[in-house]
Amino acid sequence: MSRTGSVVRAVLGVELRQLIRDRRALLTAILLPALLYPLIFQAGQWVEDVSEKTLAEREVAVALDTGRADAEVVRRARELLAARTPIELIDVDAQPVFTLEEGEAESDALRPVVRELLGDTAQLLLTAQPHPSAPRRTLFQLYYEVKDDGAREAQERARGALRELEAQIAAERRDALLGGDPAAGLDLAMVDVATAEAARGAELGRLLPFLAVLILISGGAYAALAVFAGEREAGTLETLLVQPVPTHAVAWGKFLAVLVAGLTALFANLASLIACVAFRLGPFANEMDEVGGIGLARIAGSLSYLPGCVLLCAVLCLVCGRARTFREGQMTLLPITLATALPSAIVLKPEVQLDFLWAVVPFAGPALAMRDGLRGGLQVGPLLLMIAAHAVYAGFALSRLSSILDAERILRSEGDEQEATLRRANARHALRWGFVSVLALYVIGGRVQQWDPVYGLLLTLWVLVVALAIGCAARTKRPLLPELGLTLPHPAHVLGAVLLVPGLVMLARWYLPVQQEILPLPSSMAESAAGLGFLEDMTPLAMFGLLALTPGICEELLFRGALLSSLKQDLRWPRILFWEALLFAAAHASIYRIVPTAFLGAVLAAITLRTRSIVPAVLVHVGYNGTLVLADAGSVDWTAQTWFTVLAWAAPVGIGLLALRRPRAD
Amino acid sequence: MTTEAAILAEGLEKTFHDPQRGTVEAVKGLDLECRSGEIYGLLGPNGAGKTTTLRMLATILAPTGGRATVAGVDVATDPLGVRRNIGFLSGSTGLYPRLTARETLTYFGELHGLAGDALRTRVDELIEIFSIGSYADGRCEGLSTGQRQRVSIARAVVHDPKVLILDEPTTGLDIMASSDMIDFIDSRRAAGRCVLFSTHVLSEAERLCDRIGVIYSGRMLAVGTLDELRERTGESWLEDVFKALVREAEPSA
Amino acid sequence: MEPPPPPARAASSRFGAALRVARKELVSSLRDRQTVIYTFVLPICMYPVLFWVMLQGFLVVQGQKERTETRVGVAAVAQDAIPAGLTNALAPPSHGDTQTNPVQVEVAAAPHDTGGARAWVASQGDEADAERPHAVLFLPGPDADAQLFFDSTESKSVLARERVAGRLPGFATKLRSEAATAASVDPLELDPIELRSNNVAPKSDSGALILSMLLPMLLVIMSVMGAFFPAVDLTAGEKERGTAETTMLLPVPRAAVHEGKVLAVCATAVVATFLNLIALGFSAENLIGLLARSAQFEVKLPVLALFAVAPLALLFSFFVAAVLTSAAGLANSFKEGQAMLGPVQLVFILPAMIGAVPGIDLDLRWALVPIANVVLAFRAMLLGKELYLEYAVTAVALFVYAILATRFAVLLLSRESVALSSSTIPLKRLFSTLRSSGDTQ
Repeated sequence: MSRTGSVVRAVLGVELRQLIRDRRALLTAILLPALLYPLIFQAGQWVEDVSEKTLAEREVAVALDTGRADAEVVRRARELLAARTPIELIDVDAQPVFTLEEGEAESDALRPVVRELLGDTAQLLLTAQPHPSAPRRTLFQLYYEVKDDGAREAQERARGALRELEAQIAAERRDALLGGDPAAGLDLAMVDVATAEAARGAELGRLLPFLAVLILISGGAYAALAVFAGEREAGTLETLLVQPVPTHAVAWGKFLAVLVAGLTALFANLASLIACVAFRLGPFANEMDEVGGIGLARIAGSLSYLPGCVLLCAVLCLVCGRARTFREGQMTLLPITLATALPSAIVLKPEVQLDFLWAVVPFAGPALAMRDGLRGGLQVGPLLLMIAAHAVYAGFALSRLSSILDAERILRSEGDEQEATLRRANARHALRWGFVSVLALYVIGGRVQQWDPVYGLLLTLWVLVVALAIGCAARTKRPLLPELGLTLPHPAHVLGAVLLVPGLVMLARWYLPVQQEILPLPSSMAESAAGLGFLEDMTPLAMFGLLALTPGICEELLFRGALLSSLKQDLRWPRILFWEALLFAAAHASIYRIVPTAFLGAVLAAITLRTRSIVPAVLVHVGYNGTLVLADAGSVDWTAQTWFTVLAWAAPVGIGLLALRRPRAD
Repeated sequence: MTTEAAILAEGLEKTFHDPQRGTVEAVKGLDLECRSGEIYGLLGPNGAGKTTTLRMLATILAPTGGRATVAGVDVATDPLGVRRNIGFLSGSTGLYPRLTARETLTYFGELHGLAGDALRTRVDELIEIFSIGSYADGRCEGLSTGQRQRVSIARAVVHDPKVLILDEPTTGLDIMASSDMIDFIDSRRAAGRCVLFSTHVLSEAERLCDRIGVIYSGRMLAVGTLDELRERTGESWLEDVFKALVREAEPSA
Repeated sequence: MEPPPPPARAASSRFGAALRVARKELVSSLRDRQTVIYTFVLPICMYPVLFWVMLQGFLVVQGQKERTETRVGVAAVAQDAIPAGLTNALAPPSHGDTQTNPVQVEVAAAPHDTGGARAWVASQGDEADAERPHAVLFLPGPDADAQLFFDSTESKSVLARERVAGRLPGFATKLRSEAATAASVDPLELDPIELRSNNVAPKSDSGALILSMLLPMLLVIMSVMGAFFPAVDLTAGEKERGTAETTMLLPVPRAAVHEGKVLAVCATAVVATFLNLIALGFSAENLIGLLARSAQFEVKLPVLALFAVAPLALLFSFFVAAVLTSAAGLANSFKEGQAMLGPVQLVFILPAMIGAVPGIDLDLRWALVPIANVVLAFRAMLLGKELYLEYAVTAVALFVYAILATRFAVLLLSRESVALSSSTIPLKRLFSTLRSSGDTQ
């Protein structure tokens, strides 16, 4: 053990020494960002200031037609409007607009008329008239075109002025009619009780997780590229691997070097940022009243990002370890940056805090922990889970890294990727088609269904999915029907598969409420799912056809037919089930359906592997979807559940499994 | 003749999958035996399987068939043990450009388990032996080819290995550098070590080798001292010996 | 010895030679799987995935937020200052089995003053305060505004604030209309003004507005990123692979070789840029279509603007390609080249931020400023502005800059000290390099 330790130390020391000596890379990867980010903040702040100022100083012209409305209200409105300088008020005759409004014209009809009235000078048309339904009220209407900067600014000012007027007159009316405001003292004033330190910390917490990702990638990637891809190019990796040291020790030493480089970059930047906060630079300039720090405890709290650093560096090592050249490694950095920065965006939602769900999301957990730490409200339980989860992820990445540092792979650099292609051509073919299908379903299917839900769904499944299935199967140049899984199954297998349906349905019924607790569905989505308007006027039979029969047949043709046939040429069953589950879940493209669809995908794939035909899987799929559809249509009562009913559901499953155990005919 | 076999290979095989050519058998059942105190030259044209064989013996590649031991340690079951006993040098074993010669030697000494004074003494000794002294503290990226070669050699013997495996050690070297190399190989014989090296420079083999193995398309065509090979083929120049052996193996060639 | 003078037709065929070099470079980079994947396949797949993840994340946050329990304390200077029904208004009874946005209201037993109310709010991270409210509504009586004490650095406090602020005005309105009804006054009389804001622009204009904030920046960033790898690959990479000398031996004028390289870099950058713009526009269209089923606005892939900007983008890519190629030419390995281009990249991206300033519009002065002009012109095109003169000036300016940059690239790359340098030339030696004699011709 101590031998491994000393090897790790030796590798680490030498790698660090080399990294330090690469002055130019050090400069661009570590020092430059530290100076640059404050600069970018300043620039961003400047852009914001300038745009606010230019808009505020912009002279706007408002065309008015207020002749019809109450003179006093109009006088006061004009007074308030004129105060929002620089503004020019032009009187026009908006009769054509009133005429069109009476006819309830669409904005397409209004547009030319409004444009005509505005002419070249005015950006906004304001009309006033007695309210059609309550003559003592005044109806003000604003007409503008959204994409014009001036029009938007004019609209803002006019709205502000009219709101002010509304508040004034409303108060006067209340005094006159009711003798005072019955809701007096209910106008809200917000008081933030957060300490200045906490507020500064929170402000920093919105930024730092993103910066941490960017800086770690710039600092860590340069190191990772140098210690893996660079060494591979220079040929020194071969030298290293003929030394009597275990590869995992080399991997650890190099990983630690990358981590040190990344953390150095990070700390340099952290210091530069905290200085920005302390001296009120950039985005911190306006928010704070006084110069000051954020407190040591908060800075310490931000250290909870460390698991994220470790994971990110491990991922960088893994990616750069795989890369055969510097160039190749470099090209993977953009996707990695996006994949890590995106989960970090969760910190922009102040109402989300680190909980047990977010703790396990890679990079989102550490980002939230860092922000909560900076805000000063870190919770211990989720923090520990986050650390544990990220340690597991990083450990997995590192074990992969050790296996990648296998001399054989490295030496056969020129062809190892192509070799793998050759060896697993069928599996690769299937996965390629699988992911293209998922993308096509998402992009094309989504569009078609937006156009018309029912015909869109039918088109997607019967045309797109079937075409993809046939395309995938035809490309293999093997006989088409068996490739699509269209073979005659053993009758016992059909029976066994069908008997599994009740069990699957029960499982779904049990699981969905559990998921609702952990991953609650937003009410807007629940409503839109409940009120799928187009389903209401469909007969149960049509619904069955649309939601059970169609997906059952088409999806099975693609997933358990064409894709599975190619996958099973090269892979063993655990991997086949994994990919089937993943692809099937991805095709359903909703986080709320990932677990059920992945499970169903794996079960259906297992059935198909067992029976060598998609017919049983089609029946199970149709049965499963059908039962759920009918249940939603209210024809099945699910409420009463006793041990006896559970047994009644379990028995067929048992028989079904027994039937599936029957040996195949061949 | 010493008794112990420093390197022993029996029926060694290596198969690659190549996208263009399909499955390639780079080495097809190769037998090889070298003893301590012996210099063994592996002779053959490009693509004969020399490098693959040496890499298998150095545990860089895993054999797909047969077995081999180096210094009594099995290549397949204990690669670490093998690596402790060998020094390996090839055209593609580079040097770290941003480390100095001394740091390079220290680093590899550490990886071989040397530490403290023992390590320092050994590094100084190597610098002395290979006359690296004048540039020992300059970065490797600034060294000339010959200087780099010396550092590489010193690197390979930092742990004084029982077996040296050298893959075309003189390729790309100038006259001075390759004569240094030849002297070095010669000196290992005197120290009782085993040297296995591959080359396609016949004069080197002629001058250095106790025994020569001729390898062609993954098979060992003939093994023996130069005289034995001459006798077998009836040719006197090594070049002709080589051609005769190839003709023998593959009459169309 | 002097090389023989080039044949007379060489001058006319220099451009042809440049094209041939460009074609060869493009073919060889298209044969590289990595280049193809990262330049072409990635942008097509990336944006849909990115938008999907964003949408799902949004839903998860939304779902979680609706279920989060919050506690709100209500305190007043005097107990009778708390209007009847306030508790119910803040915590409306649920309709279904689960309540969305639940609030648990706790009314203080004793009167409070401001300080007491403020102190009642749960302080951040204090476990002992598990029962204290996340936000406190303090009612100081009819003559002053109600105060809502909350902690902006605490998630639940932010939620509680949002919920109180959302529900209290409705309660006030209810009180007023009840009082009005009691006094036989039409409640509408109390609300003297109705304000309607009508956007008469076509629905797709709102989408165009969103895209006009995104796409121009993206145009610059993608041109630079698209040119980045080819630029390094064709110059520093070539030196590293040892093919630089082979290239120098080509029987065409050196200038043609370098121009060909700039062309190849430019072509890759243009393709990458357009793939990215189209993929992003398309994904945004899809996503926003999913999110906003309401007819408020729609995002349409701005096909017309994309066609219109194509010539400008091409010229701009040409300019970018020339600048990046010259910078990368100073390096002698891929790694060095890439370190060299890092700062250069920022020189392009920082001015592109001008595209995010709403007040600045393309005019004849801006049309002369490189980078800013293409950003502003693209924005104007997306918004459908008809500034033909400005567009033309922008195009001419870009063309001149592109030619100048290419000249510079050729001049620099033809220097013996650059073309055959065995080490990377630091930027500070750039000018002395240019002054030095020794053009390779």
